[in-house]
Amino acid sequence: MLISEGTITFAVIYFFVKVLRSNKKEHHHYPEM
Amino acid sequence: MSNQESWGTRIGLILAMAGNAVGLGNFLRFPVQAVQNGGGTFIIPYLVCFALMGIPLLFVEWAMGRYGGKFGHHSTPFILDSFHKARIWKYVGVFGIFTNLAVAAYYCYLESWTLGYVYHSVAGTFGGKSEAEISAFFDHYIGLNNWEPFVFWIVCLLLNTYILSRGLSGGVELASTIGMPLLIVFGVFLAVKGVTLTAGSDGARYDGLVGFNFLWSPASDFATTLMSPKVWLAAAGQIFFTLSLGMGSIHCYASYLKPKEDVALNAMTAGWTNEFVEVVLGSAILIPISVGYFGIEQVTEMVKNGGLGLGFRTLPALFQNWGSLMSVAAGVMWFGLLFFAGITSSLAMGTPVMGFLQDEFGWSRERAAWLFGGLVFLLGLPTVLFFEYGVFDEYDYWAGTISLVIFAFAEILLFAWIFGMEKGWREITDGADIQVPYFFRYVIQYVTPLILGFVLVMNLPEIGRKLLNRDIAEQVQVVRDESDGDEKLKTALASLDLSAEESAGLPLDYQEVATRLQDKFPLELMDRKIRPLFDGTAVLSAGEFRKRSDAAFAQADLAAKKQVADLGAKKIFVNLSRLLLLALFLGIALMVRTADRKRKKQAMLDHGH
Repeated sequence: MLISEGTITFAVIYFFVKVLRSNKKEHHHYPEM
Repeated sequence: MSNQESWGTRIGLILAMAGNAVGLGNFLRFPVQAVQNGGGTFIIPYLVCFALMGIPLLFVEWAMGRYGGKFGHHSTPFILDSFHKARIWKYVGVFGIFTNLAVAAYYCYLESWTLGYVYHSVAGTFGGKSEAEISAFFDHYIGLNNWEPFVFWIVCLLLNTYILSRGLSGGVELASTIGMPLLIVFGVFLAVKGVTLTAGSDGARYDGLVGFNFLWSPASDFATTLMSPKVWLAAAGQIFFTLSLGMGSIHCYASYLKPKEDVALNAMTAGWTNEFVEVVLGSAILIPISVGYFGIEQVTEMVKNGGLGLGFRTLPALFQNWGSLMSVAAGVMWFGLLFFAGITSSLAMGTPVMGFLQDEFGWSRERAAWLFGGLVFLLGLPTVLFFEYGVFDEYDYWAGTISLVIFAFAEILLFAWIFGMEKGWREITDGADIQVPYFFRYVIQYVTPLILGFVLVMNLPEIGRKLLNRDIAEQVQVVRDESDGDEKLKTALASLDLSAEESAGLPLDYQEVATRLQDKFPLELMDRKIRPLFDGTAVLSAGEFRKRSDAAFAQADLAAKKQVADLGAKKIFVNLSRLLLLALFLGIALMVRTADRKRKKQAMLDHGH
């Protein structure tokens, strides 16, 4: 139970960090950010 | 083309997509499904379905949406049409508009209850009321005994229409950017409160962790539960509803992406956000708090009536134990988070309808938003007025359940087999900000269609039963059987020789009557029918016994007749609502045909020039 909750929480944080990072990297893709 | 909408920011898009997925079901349906399908064991089929059906369909729907958007299509009839020239796909795409309209029709009504309850939490309506009174308040509310639910429904519809009319970035995205973070803050607060509830404080009888562990402890018959098709179907169904798959709303939101914008990472971020809200937050509020006050046994009984009862009858009453200020705050947070969950989903239902009208008929977004609001009002009216006749459930079954599976099954066949997985995979990975594991290519091609086919086939018997109104016929039969049993018992009682008691004035007790009839009737039946005649007394005179039994049987007969009449009325309403839904589907199909002809005419004119 804690494993699945932990995995899900980790995955959300991981994906959000990845979104923010790739936003910075490819600024030209998302000029509005 | 008048449709010039676009997303403002990437985070805004992700929050809007997550808001589309996160709905009332995350908090009210998921925990109940888990309790009813093996507790902690349920998470295994649930996560397997998420991996093999949820994630692949998220990739497919996002990719399909972005692909259709390249050609200026923002609703499923023409998004699907851009994948293959066969005419049928346009009409399969009708599901992606039909479902949104029909689901919004009943969903907005539910959503308006949460708005009403936020108001009542602030106004302190529940303060000082007993649990029974708060439960009765709910019955009173949904019983339409005054104008209030109707007013909140209209306010809710107007709010949806207004936000939709402000456009994608100025309306839907803004609402999600405000609503989703607030929902998570409220959810985390209530979840922490739920699991840290301590026995003995705030009137709680058990620790919150007792309920939390109860929800998550594996079923005692672990292997049997895991092998049960019922549990797997429940898990697949939950994944479907929670991710808003097969609706056409994901396609629509994704169609406003730019051609090379990422879909893979965006889809994962939005999808996993939904899972966080459902599994982590959804499991820590409703059940832990309810168990904290009622205990496991009582809550197991209560969940049989679904999550709505627990959410609207029980929780507001339990919050009253938390002190005057805290009870108001908890009420606002609970119903507020349900409201945000609801409105971000209903907005997602409006967008494809508007996209269709804007793309194909050149409507302005304000006009399209008002038409959506108006249609939801008209289609929702029967669900509000004839709620008790099962109209609400009928919409939910055909539009909110079966249509989703049919549409998802068709779209994945189109994407993976007709459009082809080669090109399909390119659509998913093009511009991707993460590397999509290659094995998903095979999952999308083979595994997901098989699971969807299985879900569809397993639902066929129920579809047949519903279409033939067997479920209602069975209920009528139960009432008739009961009535026949009553009749026999009545005749037997009438022919019971009570002359000895009557002449000697001897009293009669239940045991005596039961003994005399025990050869003819089962004890259980007599216990149910005859014992209550002795209510409040151990013995009765023979005359009084006859009087009471005649009155009771006459009353039961009247009630049975009313029940049969009500079921007859229900059958009519159910059939009429099906006809209405069918007419809606055909109406949209006709509009698609008109739009298609318009397009062809335009293409010929352009070609001529």
